[in-house]
Amino acid sequence: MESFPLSNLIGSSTQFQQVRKQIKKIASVDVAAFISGETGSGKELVVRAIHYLSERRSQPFVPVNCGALPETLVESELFGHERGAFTDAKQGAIGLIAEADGGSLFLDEIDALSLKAQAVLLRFLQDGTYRRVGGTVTRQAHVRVIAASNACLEQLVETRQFRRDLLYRLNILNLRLPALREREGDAMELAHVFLQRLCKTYKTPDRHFHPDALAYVKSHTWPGNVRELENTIHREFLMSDDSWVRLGSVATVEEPVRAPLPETGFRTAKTQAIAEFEREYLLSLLARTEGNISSAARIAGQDRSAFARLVRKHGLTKDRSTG
Amino acid sequence: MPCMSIEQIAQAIEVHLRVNPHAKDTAEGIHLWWIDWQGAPESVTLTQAALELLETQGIMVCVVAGRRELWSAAPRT
Repeated sequence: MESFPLSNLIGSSTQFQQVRKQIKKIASVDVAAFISGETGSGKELVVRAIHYLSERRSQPFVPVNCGALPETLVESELFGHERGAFTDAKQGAIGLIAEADGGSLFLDEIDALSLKAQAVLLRFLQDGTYRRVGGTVTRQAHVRVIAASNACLEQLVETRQFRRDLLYRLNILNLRLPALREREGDAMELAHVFLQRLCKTYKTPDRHFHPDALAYVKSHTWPGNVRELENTIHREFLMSDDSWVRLGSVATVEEPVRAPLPETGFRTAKTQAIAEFEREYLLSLLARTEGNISSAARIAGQDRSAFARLVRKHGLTKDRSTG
Repeated sequence: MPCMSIEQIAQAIEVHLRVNPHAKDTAEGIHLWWIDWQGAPESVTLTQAALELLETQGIMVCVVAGRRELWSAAPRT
């Protein structure tokens, strides 16, 4: 496993080399860890690297976004539930802890957990035992918990939104991921890798960055970090009509929604606004699914053929799901 | 730029599972950490297709946990 895992962690800056070193160190010891970093800075990628470089690499890796779990279901999602434990519990569920047994459980946006859920998690971290919701049997799981957040947990402790004892328990080892703007030269390196991947995905090897695009990569501060860089390049790659990928002022400019001119009729203005929304929505969804219309339709909750018609209507036909 | 077919990706996943029968991850994780791409990786949609192929062959199972799809070896009957 040593030969290729670290190749997923792209960046030669001294700041990122330091991160790689810390990843190896954290992977070598089997205790809870906490990763902090701005949104889009690659926390899940780093936590996966820790898992796959650790002794648990042959066991499950279970990532969870705590912010995406409804507050009322967090406990049952984490620890499972017995059949009939609550109104909708028509079947029992083993829960995420059991899914991750033997491996690593990644709790992203840990700050989104309610105080009640934090208390239950703390109990599990203390002795590795838990009960399913509605159950009486005490169960045991051997799980390494790695948590992450882009919030300052110390501050949340001060305002009593996060348990101090849980923070101590999770924060045995910690790693702060630098923002992309702090990683000298990495944005350029990443940009080239992303473009190379897109050329391969879309089988168009003749695309290159416009010289102005490279200057933009260097000068932009990338507040959305690596995710913003990747999505921007992906969008402009799809929008390019020639062999150049343009970024910044020469790229496709996202126009803010304009108030309709008074002389434009309401119906016309509304149709224009809907068309603009549809196009932006489709572009962003197709970028996310790498042009796969089936996947995009699934995410949008739309029938595939109707969705494909809409894509054709906007001239965005680069389906990857059938090729 | 050598390309891997869906079948070849599925084979690489199977090899990983043979050595690590308890392994489990999302499609993105499998894409990045179970397959040695020998260069630039293929699109993650191909890995997803390979996983679905292995599911139809009864080699892998997919469960939704914490709103994510987790893939692992199918239990042996």
